[in-house]
Order: sequence, then structure tokens, then C-alpha cells
Amino acid sequence: MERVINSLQWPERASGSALVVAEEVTKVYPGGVRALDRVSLTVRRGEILGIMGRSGSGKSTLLHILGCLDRPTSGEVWIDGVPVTRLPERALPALRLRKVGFVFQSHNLIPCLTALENVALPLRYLRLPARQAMEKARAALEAVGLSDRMHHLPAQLSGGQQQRVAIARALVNSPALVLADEPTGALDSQTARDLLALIRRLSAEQGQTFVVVTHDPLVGQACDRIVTMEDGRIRPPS
Amino acid sequence: MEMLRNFSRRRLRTGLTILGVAVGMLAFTVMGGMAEKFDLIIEGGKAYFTHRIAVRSAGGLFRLNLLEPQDIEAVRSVAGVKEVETQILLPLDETAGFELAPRFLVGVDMPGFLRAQELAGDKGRLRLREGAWWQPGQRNVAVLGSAVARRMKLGVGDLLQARGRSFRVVGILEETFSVPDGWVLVPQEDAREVMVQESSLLQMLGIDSFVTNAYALVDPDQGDQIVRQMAASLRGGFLLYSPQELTEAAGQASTLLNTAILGSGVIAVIVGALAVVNTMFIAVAERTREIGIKKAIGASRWDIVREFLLESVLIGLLGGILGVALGALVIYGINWYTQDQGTPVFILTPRLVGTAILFAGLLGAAAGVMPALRAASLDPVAALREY
Repeated sequence: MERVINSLQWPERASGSALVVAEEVTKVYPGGVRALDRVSLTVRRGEILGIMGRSGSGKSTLLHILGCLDRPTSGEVWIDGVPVTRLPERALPALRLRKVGFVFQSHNLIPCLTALENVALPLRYLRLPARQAMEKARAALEAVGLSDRMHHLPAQLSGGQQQRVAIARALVNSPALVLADEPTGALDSQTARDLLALIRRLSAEQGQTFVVVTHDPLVGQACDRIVTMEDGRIRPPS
Repeated sequence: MEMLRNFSRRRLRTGLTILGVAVGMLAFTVMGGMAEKFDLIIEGGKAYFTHRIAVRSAGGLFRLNLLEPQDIEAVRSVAGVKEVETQILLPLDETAGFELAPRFLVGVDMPGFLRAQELAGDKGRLRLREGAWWQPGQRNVAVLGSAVARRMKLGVGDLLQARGRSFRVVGILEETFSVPDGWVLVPQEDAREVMVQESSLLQMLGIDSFVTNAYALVDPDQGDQIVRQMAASLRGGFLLYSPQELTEAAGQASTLLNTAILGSGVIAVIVGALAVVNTMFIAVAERTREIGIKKAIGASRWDIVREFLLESVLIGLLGGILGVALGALVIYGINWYTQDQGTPVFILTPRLVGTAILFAGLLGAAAGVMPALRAASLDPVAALREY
């Protein structure tokens, strides 16, 4: 898989400060629904980019495509220099494993795994030795302030704690990019503020790039930059 | 660990599925125990007949199917025959009705019997567990098969009452799990007297030197050839069975029985496996979102397939272990209940236990394949929409 990824050339335009480049990305679902219409977007290294817009505006579809969970009907995407839209389907799990971390709105965690085991999951898929995986997972949980909840099951954690575990899991294998889909959607405003502060801190400390999809203005305030989507397109800055 | 917590999350469903497999494996184990017993009987028979050509009379004097001294001499004179072992074989108890391990009074001629033992090969030889063979000329003595001794609660020195006579027990045979376990070996003269006493025809004819069947001891690989020579040189009216014929017939009988017995066990197990398939499909449906998350964070198809396959293998193995344990209980129960027959009806061998558990695991794997593939092929975006 590594070989497939490395054998493809780095396009010039994806070098330098751009971590993600999406070019003319269109997604048409079977039945003719045009979820994305020629969307072009660049995400810079280390920034927190907010994608805002009403539900149905195409922001989740864009996030899925940036995260290689879904493939565009046309257009191209580069992540960290890799032209992901040109990779075969079977190369995508390994790419997600190494380059991308995900945080969803809720129910992010595997219910029958402890917080620590949830965070260690991507490392297990990377075939890291168990001890090393547990050490890294422990460090990641400490970074999100949950060193005292490592052996709790998700059901024993509050909503905010669950989201922090999800962030620890998204960061544990040091991905180039963390994608968050409404990460505060299920949280009250104080917990949401704490979570956003955490994201800001991690971004500052680790230079981590975040793309956050949200319709919550609170989240918008925490982002370095905002793009707004409307009917499958990015609204030009006014 | 994750698997066990998944099981405990769905304790009732997983438990019932394991129980379903266990019931199938219980049937398989008990049936298998029966097949193992038949196998041992047939193996014992094969070993016994490896060096022996069986000779019976089909007619003879007054069509009594008896062999007379001149018949024995004719058999002995065929080239390649090393010894002729003669028997008078009678039911031990004519009033006993059906017996799981039929008991026979077997009159043998001790010097000829011992020579035949020497020639019968390691597996075709009867060994004494205790006591000793009687001396030539001794009368009213008996060596008991192990099942007879156990069933009639007799030991060396006790008196056995059979067919209107009493015999002093001088020896007990080692257990063979085969036909000789039901034998009572007695001096041939005693067995002949029993027959004559009970048959007015024999008394009237005044013959006193017959036997009911004979075995010619030969080299195993010459069996067929010697049977052909024997058939050519003996006058008609004999039934001859070569070692090869007997072994083949035994092999066929054993294959047929084992297929029938194990077949019914296998059907029971397959029903259990279908329950596993069903449970695994439900588990996949229930964990759709989990699968979506795992795929999003980079699980490969194989990671997902392996997770579900291991789970169904574990269900299979747990069901197998439980089923074999229950089967062992049933087998010991039935054997205990029928112990007055003197011989176990079912035999639980390590081979059977190993096969049963391995089979359960393999079946679990087979049952998990389709659900696991379905899980692996779920579209992550669609899977993530599930809550």
C-alpha cells in the first residue's frame, strides 16, 4: 500500500503550505442529487478550518470526500501530496489509517471497548505491538485530560468526555489531518466551549490541522478561517 | 476481550446460540461414541480374523452344520495351513433375550487354542487379565470375557452356572471392547456334553467328536490363495471366509454404520450452525455504526472480516466444548445405566473429543463467513448514518 502511495508523484500545487487541495470536486448521488458542485478548496497546514452551512448544503459530503470515505464523481483531491482520488479503492483504508483522523457528532466510540482500547484501535490496525500501542494511547488520553478515565467504557463517560476520547483517538497515530463532523453537536454550550478550547490547544501545541464541519456559530468563532457552503457550492467571501 | 464484552452485551442471544451449537454437538458426541464402539468391535473382529480362515459346515450329517474330525483333518492338510483351531459355540443363556453384548459359551481344545494364539498375531491374540489358562484334561473350568465377568460379578475362583452346569472360573480375559468380551471359554468336552445333553438327535446318533466351527491359521497375505486351494480340495458343503473377505466385509459394515450414525450427528450440528449464521447476521446489523467507525479510522476489510470470523469461531468452539461435555455426561449416564450388561455401549475416545471440538470450530468459521463478508463490504458513509 505504501508503495502504491509513494509511486504516485507529488503534484507541485500540493506542496508547501497546502495540506489538502480539492479541485473542482463534484459529487452526484444515484438519482441525480448533486451534493457537491465543482468545489475547490485548499486547507493550509496547521489551520483550523470551519466549514459552515445549513444541513443539506453538502458539507458532510465534502468532509467524507476529504477523508477518503467517499469518492467524488469528478474532480481531484490531494492530501499531504497524495492524489487520493487516483488511488484504487483498496488503498484507501491504509491511507485513512495513516493520514486522517475522524471525530463524529456522537456515538464515536466502540461501546464494548474501554476509553484506552478505543484510542489504541487505530494503532492495532497499524499492527503496532500491544504494549507500544497502549503507551501511545495512554499519552493521547493524557493530552486530552482523561488520564483518570482510561479504563471506563463509553457508557460510563459523559458526552464531553466521550468526544475527548474521540479526539484522542483521532490524534493517536499523528495523522496529517483531523476531520470533525459537528463535534459539539450533542454537547451543551459549556462542554462545547471546553472541547473547542482543547482543539485550539492541540492545534497550537502540535501544529495539527483540523477541518471542522458545523452549523454552530460558537464553533465558527474558534476557527482560524471559515468557508460557507450553500447548495453544494462554496459561497464566495462577501 | 472486545469479543467477550460483545458476548456479555448480548448474553441471552449469544448464550442461546452457543446452546444451539451445544445441542448439535451433544448429538454428534453421543452418536460418535456409538460409532467408536462399533469401530472397536469391528477392529477387534478384523484383528481376530487377520490370520484366520473361518470354516463352517453348510450341511453335513443330518444337516446339523457340524464339522467332524475328518473335515478338520482335510482342512489341516491344505498347504499353508499352520494350525486348525476348533470351537463349539453356543449361546451362554438361551433365555436371556436381546443382549447388547451377546454372551457365548465357547468350547476350545486347549493345546490347539494356545498354538493358535501363538500364530494369531499380536492383535489377534486373547490375553489374560488375571488367573491362568486351564491345564489340558481339566474339566468344568472357565475363562471369562471381561464383560461376562463384570455383568455376572464373577472373579477367579467363583462358580459360574450356565446351561445346567457349573464351571470354576480360573481366568479373566483382558477387555477387548469387541466380541470376546462376551465369551466364556470352557473345555471343548464340556461344551460338547452340553450340546449332546440337550439334543436327543445327537444322543441317538451317538456322535461325540464334532465341533461347530473351525479356523485355519494362515499367513495373512496367503489367505485368498489358501481359501481357493481349500475349496478345490474339500468336498462340498463348506463355507469358507478368507481374512481379506472378512476384513472387507467388516470395513464396509463399519463405513456404512459410521456414515449413518455420524451423518445424523452432523445434521444436528448443521442446524446449530445455521443458528450461528443467523446470530452473526444480527450482530452485523446491530453493529453497523461500529463497523462504519472502524472503517473510517482505517480498519481494512480483513480487520473487519477477522473480527466477525473470530467471534463465530469462538461461538462454535464454546458450543463444541459445552456439547462434548454434555455428551460425555450422557455417555457416562447411559453406560452407568447399562453397566449390568458388562460392556460400555458408547465409548468417548480422545479422538472423538478432539474431532468434535475441531469440527465445531470449523463450523463456526464456516457460519461466520457470509456475515463477516457482509460486514466488510458495508459502505462506511452509509454505515455511519446509523445510530
